[in-house]
Amino acid sequence: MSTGALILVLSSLLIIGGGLALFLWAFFNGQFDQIQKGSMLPFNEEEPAGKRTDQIFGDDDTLSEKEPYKGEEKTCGSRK
Amino acid sequence: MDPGSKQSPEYSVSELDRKARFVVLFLIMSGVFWLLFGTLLALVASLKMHMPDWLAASGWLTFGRVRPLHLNTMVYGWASLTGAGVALWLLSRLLKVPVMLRGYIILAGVLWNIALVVGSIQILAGGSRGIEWLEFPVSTMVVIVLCVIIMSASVLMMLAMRRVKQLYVSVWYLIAAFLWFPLLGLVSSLPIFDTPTVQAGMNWWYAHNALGLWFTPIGLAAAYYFIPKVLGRPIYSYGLSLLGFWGLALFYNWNGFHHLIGGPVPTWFVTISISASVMMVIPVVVVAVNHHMTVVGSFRAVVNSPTLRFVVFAAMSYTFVSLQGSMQALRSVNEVIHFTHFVVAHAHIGMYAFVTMMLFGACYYIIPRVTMREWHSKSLIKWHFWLTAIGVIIYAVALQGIGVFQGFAMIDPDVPFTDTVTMTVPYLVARSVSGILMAAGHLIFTWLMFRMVWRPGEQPATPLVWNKIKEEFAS
Ligand code: HEM
Repeated sequence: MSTGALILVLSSLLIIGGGLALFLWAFFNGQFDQIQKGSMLPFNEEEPAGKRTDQIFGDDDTLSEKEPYKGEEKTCGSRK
Repeated sequence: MDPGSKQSPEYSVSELDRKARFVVLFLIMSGVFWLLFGTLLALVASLKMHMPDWLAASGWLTFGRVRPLHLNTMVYGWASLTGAGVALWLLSRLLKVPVMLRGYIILAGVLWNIALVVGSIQILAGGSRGIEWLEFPVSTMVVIVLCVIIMSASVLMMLAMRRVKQLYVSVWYLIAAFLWFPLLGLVSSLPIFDTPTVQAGMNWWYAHNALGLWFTPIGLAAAYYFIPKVLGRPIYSYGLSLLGFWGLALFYNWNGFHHLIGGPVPTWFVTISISASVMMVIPVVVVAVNHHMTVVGSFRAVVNSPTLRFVVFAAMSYTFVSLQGSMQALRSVNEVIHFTHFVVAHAHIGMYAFVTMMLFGACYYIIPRVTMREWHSKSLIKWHFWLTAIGVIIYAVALQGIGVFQGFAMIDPDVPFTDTVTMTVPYLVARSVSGILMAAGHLIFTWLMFRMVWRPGEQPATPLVWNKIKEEFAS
């Protein structure tokens, strides 16, 4: 095998190896302990789940949809 | 205790956005410049496909120079610079720390832009490296990779200083992207791929991984953030999202050699790639189910949000292009579609309908937050969406449709080769029309962005540019 091909195979193994190392770190760091809790990470007190943002084209009839949320921001969200 | 809680104070969302403002705007606006330049090159290249005599006297504007420069400016200018801006903003939000090394990133961004200008002149002057996706001279690639390494250092610092313990799935995708891409760029720049076969192997190992381990993770990270965020509804299954990420990390890297099916490379290389391509169905379907289940029942909220219009369109395109890709990788399918316009359409469903539309959507969310301003015109945003969405659909349908017929004609020994070319001409005209629609969309987007950043007649919200840069280094 030429040097180039060997480097390609080794680099591929490095990518996979890096992925595996990341996985082991995640496992032992407790990243998978309470998996479903992770889904709340994009939200916080300032921008809580249940509050839509970015609804700039809508009228109030959009409130009739079935999923739970309270109130609606009528701006792009620049908090003016 | 949360990592980093000793070192870094608690920041509000608006403080994080304010700190990210200059660096994110700089990267995204640079990207928009290259989007416009790349679009101009695209139109020239597309028109030349059915009007070959047009501009024929100018050596600098021959198809063989304009077409690779279109690809390189879109990939390393628009998608990479804007993608990096979006990625850094997402990381700041999700790790709850400001973007680190901001001054150095701006410096890196300036060098990156200079390298793109130099590389562009070299390609137009006929100095292309002659390797697809790597036509820029090695010097340009090395500068770009070094700039990404500075950003990777910033990402690692943000990780170390983070104020959350658990990492959101978008963060996983972005860490991976910032670690993988420098490796790809550096390996592909080594002067060791000297024989044509090994060079072709490196070419597709690099190019496929740039798609799968740089642009795709940035695109998916954005989808996993903006869909729940805009709907105010957590992602349907967080477990599935992690399965999707680890599936991509495990299978994508082996895909590259499916570009060389039938080529003079060891069969086992190609067979591994075909198997890995089919295995990609698992993470792709997992992502699709998760996004679908999160969005289902919220159609109006999607329509009412400029961000989600683009992001949902992009997420659907990701599913489509990837499942199509798994089929394309089968030997029986590949022998028909290889060397046809079908692959060009697939490439644009990936890089445009998925990656570019995702970046547009991300900009519609991020820019008002970092500038604290509202978009100038709602109807122009709608025009931008419909022009680009209809444009890319026409592009994909026209070229994939004729691509299949072209493929069958090319493997039929009774059909003269010239017939396989002339039969595509009406569809190439349709492609030019679609290109004009997309270009109009880009002009509108640029105008909207320009109005957000430099409002005519208004007192600037930020100090003069050089003071601002000094401030970024000081903080
Ligand atoms: C599971 C996912 C995917 C698989 C298995 C796949 C498969 C393929 C295959 C087999 C080809 C080569 C066809 C040929 O030349 O005969 C190809 C080309 C291409 N794909 Fe994909 N694809 C996938 C997803 C994507 C995505 C997400 C993007 C964009 C982000 C993308 C962008 C491209 C591009 C740009 C090309 C053309 C490369 C060139 O010839 O210049 N693909 N893909």
